[in-house]
Amino acid sequence: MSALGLSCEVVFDLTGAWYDDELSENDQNAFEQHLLLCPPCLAYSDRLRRALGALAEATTVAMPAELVERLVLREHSPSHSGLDESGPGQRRQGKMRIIGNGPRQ
Amino acid sequence: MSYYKFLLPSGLGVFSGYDWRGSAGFWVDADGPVGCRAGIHACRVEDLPYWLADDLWRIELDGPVTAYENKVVAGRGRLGEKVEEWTGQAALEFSAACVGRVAYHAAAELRDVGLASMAEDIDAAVRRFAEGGEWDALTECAAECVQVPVRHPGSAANLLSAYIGDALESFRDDPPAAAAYIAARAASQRSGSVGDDPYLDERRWQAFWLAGRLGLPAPSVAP
Repeated sequence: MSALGLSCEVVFDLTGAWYDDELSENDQNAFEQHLLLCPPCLAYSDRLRRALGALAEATTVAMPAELVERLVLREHSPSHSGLDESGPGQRRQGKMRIIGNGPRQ
Repeated sequence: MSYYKFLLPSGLGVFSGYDWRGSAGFWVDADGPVGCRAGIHACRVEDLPYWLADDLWRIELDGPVTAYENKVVAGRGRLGEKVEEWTGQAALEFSAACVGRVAYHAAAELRDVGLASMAEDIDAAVRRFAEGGEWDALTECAAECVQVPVRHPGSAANLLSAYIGDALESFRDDPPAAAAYIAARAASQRSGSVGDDPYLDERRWQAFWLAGRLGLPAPSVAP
């Protein structure tokens, strides 16, 4: 028996997890089959996928040059301890990953 | 083994948005590790009813092909020819056939509770619907059957009669996947002994209908 009995509200809630490939195989099937019989949910998932896809294409966010320069200066400052003032574990990498998985084909 | 893939009219993948335009005849490699949620997704003939969309293409798969319950996934795929028989008209005929199947299940349930004359009315109304698209009589007939007092506990006669109305609405307003789903749900609601998994049996019936109408190889499992 199919687990296709998903309401549009549930599909709405699951769309992010679907995009991130976090649904089980059964849930993914039920989710996608719901989309095929519900044009509004298909349109919504398509909009979300395209928006997240655009973000994923910009997986790296370059720091402004001015900020990099200031950080480099701090790094070489004699008084600098080597840790960000916000404390251990709070240091940021120069590049930041925003979105994980790319789209399925 | 023949494989198929539904795409949007724009040539994009229905769920992935992957742009298949211009790629017919060229191998497309999956991006990243192949699994149930990644890779080139395709259908066997028996999977078609689950994934109905606008355009249907033949697709060749390469490398290990992993079979899942309703689909297959491979690392490489090459689109072949479009299945030209899958048209809007074919989709409409399929939806109408699914309405007929819902009516069939409702009529069978009515007969099971001794309401044979109402079942015959449904049969006659669905014939008129199939022949000329006249659905008022079927709608009215189904509405009457929804109201009829059924004294058999567990009978789905009223419920399945209501499904006829739902199927007719879907026939008019929704993609063919909707009527197909309603028919499979109707089968699964039957109260009598109609097989181990009536839902799957109904999906197989749909696959055979599609294979016959589209000139595709018959599914591997008979309904």
